[in-house]
This record gives sequence, C-alpha cells and structure tokens, in this order.
Amino acid sequence: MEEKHEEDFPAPGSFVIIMIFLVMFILFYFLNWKWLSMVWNIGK
Amino acid sequence: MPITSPEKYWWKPADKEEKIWISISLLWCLVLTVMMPLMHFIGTQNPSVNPMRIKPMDYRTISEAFIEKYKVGEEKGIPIVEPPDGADVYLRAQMWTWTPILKLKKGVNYKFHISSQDLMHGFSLQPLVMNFQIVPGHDNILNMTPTSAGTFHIICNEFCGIGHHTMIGKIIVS
Amino acid sequence: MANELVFRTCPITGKKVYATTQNLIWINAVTAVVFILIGGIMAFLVGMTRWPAVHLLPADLFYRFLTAHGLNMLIFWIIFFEIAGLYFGSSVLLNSRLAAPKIAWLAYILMLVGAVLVDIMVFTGKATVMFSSYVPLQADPLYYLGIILFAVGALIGCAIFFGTLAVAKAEKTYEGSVPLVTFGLAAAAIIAVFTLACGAIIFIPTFLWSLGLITNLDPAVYRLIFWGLGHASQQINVTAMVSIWYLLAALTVGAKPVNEKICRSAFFLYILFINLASEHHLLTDPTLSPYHKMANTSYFMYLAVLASMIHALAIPMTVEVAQRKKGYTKGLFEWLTKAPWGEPGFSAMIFSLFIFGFIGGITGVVYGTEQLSIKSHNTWALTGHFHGTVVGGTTLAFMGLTYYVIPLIFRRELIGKKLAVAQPYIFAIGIILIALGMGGAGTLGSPRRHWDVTFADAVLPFSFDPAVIFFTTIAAIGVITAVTGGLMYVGVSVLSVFFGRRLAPNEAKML
Repeated sequence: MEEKHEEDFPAPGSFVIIMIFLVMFILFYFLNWKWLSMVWNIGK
Repeated sequence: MPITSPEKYWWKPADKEEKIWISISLLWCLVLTVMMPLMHFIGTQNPSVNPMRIKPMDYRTISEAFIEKYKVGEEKGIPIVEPPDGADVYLRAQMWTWTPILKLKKGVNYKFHISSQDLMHGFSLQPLVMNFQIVPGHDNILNMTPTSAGTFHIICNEFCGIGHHTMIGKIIVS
Repeated sequence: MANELVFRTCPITGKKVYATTQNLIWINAVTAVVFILIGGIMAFLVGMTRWPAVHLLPADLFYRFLTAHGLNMLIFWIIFFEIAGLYFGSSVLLNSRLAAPKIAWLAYILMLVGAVLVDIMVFTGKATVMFSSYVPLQADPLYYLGIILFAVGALIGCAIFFGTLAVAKAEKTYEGSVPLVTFGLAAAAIIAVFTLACGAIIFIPTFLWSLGLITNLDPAVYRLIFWGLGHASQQINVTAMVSIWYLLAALTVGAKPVNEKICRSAFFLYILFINLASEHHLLTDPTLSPYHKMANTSYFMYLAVLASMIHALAIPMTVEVAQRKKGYTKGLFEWLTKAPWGEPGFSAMIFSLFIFGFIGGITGVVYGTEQLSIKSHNTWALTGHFHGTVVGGTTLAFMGLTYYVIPLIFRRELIGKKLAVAQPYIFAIGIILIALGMGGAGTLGSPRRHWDVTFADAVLPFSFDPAVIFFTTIAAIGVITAVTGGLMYVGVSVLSVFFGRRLAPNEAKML
C-alpha cells in the first residue's frame, strides 16, 4: 500500500513548489486586472 | 536518461501527480481564455480598434483643422486645444512632439485619433501608464473617457531617433 | 580537414564523438562566447546610462550600444550556441556522423560574416535602429544584408541537424525513438525554420526598400512579420532551454524523465502553437481586430502556456525522483536541500527554471493578455520580462551546460572551478535584481529604450514618481552583479578552452 502511494505521487515536494508558482501566477494576473481597472475608460 | 533512446514502449499512462497538475493547468488556461472576451462585456478598459488606414498627409490636414477650430492658447509654441464634449480628438505624434496639448473634461467621452507623421511612436499616458503603439499610416482610434482630473503627461515609449527622450505631450483634465 | 568518419568514444556517456562534429561544436560555441562578451560590455554601458546617478553615455552612443546589445545577445550569442547545441543533439547523442560537415562550415561562415557585417554597421552608427529596426526607421542596406546572411546560415545549420537525424536513422546508429533531448531540440529546429522563414519574408523586402528599389513598405505589416522572427526566435530559445534542463538534470543528478509521453507531448504543443503567440506584440496596435487578437492570444497562446506549465512540473519532478531514489526521502524537500548545489550545472538549471518560470513566465502571460497589454506595452516592465526569460532562463541554462561541454566534448579540464561554482549564483542574483528593478520601474511607467528618464532636456517639464528612480537603481545594481557573473563565465570558459589541461583519452572526469 505504501509502495502504491509513492507511485501515485512520486514527487510531493515538486508539487508543493508548483502550487506556490500557481498561486503567484493567479495573484499577479488578477492584480494586473485590478491595476487596469484604475485607468481611464476605453470602450467601443 | 534523456540523452539515450527511451525503452521501446514509452507511451505510458501518467502518474496521478502529473494528471492532477495537467488538469489544473488546463483549467487555469481556460480561465485565462475566458477572461479576455468576458472583460469585453464587463470590463471598462478594452482597446477599441477598428483598423483604419490614413495617409500621414491627410492626417496632418485633418489634425491642423482640428487645432485651428478649437485652439484656446499656446504653451512653449505648442497649441492648447479644448474640444467640445464628445468631439473627435486628434493627437499627432512626430519627431519629437505630441501636438496639441489637450484640455478635456472629466467623465466625458472623446474619440481619440492618434497617428504618426514619421516613425513609430509610443503613446504612454503618465502617471496612469496607458500605452498604445502609434504607427504612421494607421489611425489608432480610441474611445476614451477621462475618469480622473489633473495634469497628465504623454511620453514616447517607442524609440524614434536621437530626441526620443525629449518627446513629451500634455493632457489637462478638469 | 579531418576525416569525416574519425570518432572517439566518450568515457562517461559511451557516446561516439566524431572529430568533425567536435570541431563544429567548438567553433560555434567559442564564437557564441565572443558575442556574449561584446553584448555583456554593451549591457554594462547601457545599464550604467539608464541609471540617472551615473548616466554614463551620451544619447547617440546609448542608442547605438543598445542596438548592439540586443543583436549581440538575442541573436548572435544565442543562435551560435544553439547551432552548437543542434550538432551536439543530433550527431553526439545519436552516435552518428554529422551530415555534410563542409556545408556546416559554410553555414558557420555565412553566420559569422552576417554577424560581423551587422556589428560593423551598428558600431559605426549606420544602423541605430534597435533590435526591432521598425520601418520606416532606416539602416544602411548592409545591415539588412548582414541579418539575411546570418539567417540563411542559421537555416542551413538547421538543415544539417535534420540531415543528421536522417543519416542516424538510415545508418541505424540508435534503436527505437530518439532521446528526449534530441526530440526537444528537433522541436526547436522546426520552430527555427518558421522563424527564419519569417525573417527572410520581411528582411528581403526591407533590404530592397533600403536600397530604394521598393517604396511602399507598410510599417504595420513590417511589425507583424518582424515579430514572427523577433519573438519566435525566443521560442526557439525556450524549447532549446527546456531540452537543456533535461540534459543538465541528467548530467548532474542522473535524472531520467518520469514520463516520456508527457514530456514529448508538451514539446509537440510548442511546435503547434508557440509561434502564433508572436502577435501579442501587436495588442495595442491600430491594425488587428479585437476578435483576431483574442483568438490569437487565448486559444493558441494558452496551449503553449500549458506546455510550459507541464515542463514546469516535469523538470523538478525528474530531479526529485532521482534524488529520492538515492535515499534523500526525508520530508518534502530533503531531495532539494541535499542536491549538488556545488555543481554549476545543477545550480544553473534550478535558477534558470526558477527565474524563467516565476519571473519571465508569469509576466509574459500577463502582459500578453489583450487588455492588460495597455498597462505594460513598451514599458520597461517588458524589458524586465524578457530578461527573466532569455537571460535568467536561456542564457543561464546555456552557461551551466558550457561547464560540461568543455570537459566532455572539448576534452579540457576547467580552469577556475571555484569561479565556475560561484558564477550561476552571482549571475542569477544579478538577473533577478534586473528583472525586478525593470518590472517595478516599468509598472510605474518607465519606458523601454530611453536615454533619460529624468527628462532633463524635454520642452514640457515632467518627472516620474521617485519610486521609478529607486527601482532603476535596483536594476543598475543588478546590471553590475550580472555583468560580473557574465565576465566570470567568459573568463572560465575561454581560459579552459584554450589553456585547460587536455584530458587523457580515457579520463572520465566531469568537473
């Protein structure tokens, strides 16, 4: 059972790192939308 | 090893970890994909481009007429222009000036026509940091509504020759 | 000229290294290092000019040297190194002779003549047009001719790579599928063909225009097709860099891809989608319709982003799995803390991966979004983005690889190992400071390609938020640090290549 578990998730440390990456990605993305919303309106 | 040929049958199912990550990544890419069209409906900042060509000579004629019609003053040789509400506004880029200085009203929609007489220029409104590429022979049409009052400066952020760093324009919003 | 069939067997990897291939890798890599030296000196001069506290160069030299910096780094350094990489990935990794080595020399000579011609034009002030040379800003015709010669040479180099793949297959020098690194490099070479074709499509008419034979060259069309070359060449870098990450992981911790299918599929996504993303340079242009922009940057670009995200897990995963097999299984991160941080190939790979992903990658996707481009277009933040990708990512990975190419391919012992060990750290810190400084200043409005952000000579007075100057200073400190790291790299590699102790034929020594 222990062996099987390792096969499923061979690199848990990498997974944690990649989740930190994803969170930073999401934060920076929406932060930029926030900054954009503060400038003059441009439309059709 | 990645430097040797893999075993004969390498097309194998992925482990759970990679499957989860690929699913999350795909989902995030879908969010990114949906955001752009969605913001065209709910966002208030969308580049409103209807591609239009205009010869630099023709643009010059139109923008000179615009300046003459609404000119209210001058600063250091640059005309100051106050167009009526909702007017078409012409902002001309050439080495190394933005002409004219504009006086606008907060909350009023203006149709900007920005074009270049010579090289590429970069419209960069400070301190808001709104940037547009200004291409000779093409009219960058933007329906803009100033939502804040004060004095704003336009710098050039596309290299346009030796005087590039001196190219500054002004928009005054009241 | 050496016989095309003379080879030696590498005592470490067991690969056949043909003398002709070895010479070609040597000449292309050494030339690449010469160009990074030129580009690095320019980096220092340009960086010190942007820093208002120093403001080193006069305006004309600043713009001239900035043009030189862009071309020598983005084009000459990287593509010469990549051609060396392509010959390595095909001939060495597949145990094959190189197809048509004489033509490979011709390719080299074309590239060199092109690069020297471009540099002469730029340094004599006849082509102060920046890397992008936007029409109607005009350079001397010989500048465009130089770019064309270089591109044709590089295209021939790619043809030699494909030819070598065919020779290896016909002569059965390997069994089954090609190695993953070769597969990744093949993806890079396919992207390169598209890229260089765009270069020919746009630079041939531009050359004729500079001679006065064509009059109506639309600046907007130029921009569109130019970025098919200008940005797509960075996509070659991404693909080559990812391949080199796998290679360095193998050389330093013996890592093996966890799942070949996933890795190869991700490379395949690059081939299909990555080049279409080049249009994101035009998001604030008055030319393409919003529908076109959205389709291009969403559906197409994000499938390439997906590929990068797949590699982003796959690479650390290969390292972690390899390290766990060695017994470093305690907690979540023992595999990382007990990793060979003293090996420059390992530290270079990890920093390259980190800087590329966390700094270059995230900013790239954000700035490439249709509306968000309004905030970042042509600001210094863009410059920060691509210093994260091309310098922190690609260049650092190439630097790390060099320390292994010297003993393995050139059979010389490294001179200045301690410098080599410290170099990736210093360079990475420098690049992180540069990218953050540029990103901060650019987000506050600081423009790219600008001689004087204090606007001292401007007719209408204007000055930035003081925070812009603060971030500019951070970038300048980064420039000093990274240039130091760059000089260490050039010093170690040049000294080792020319004066390093020759390794005995069977000496299995890496560092």
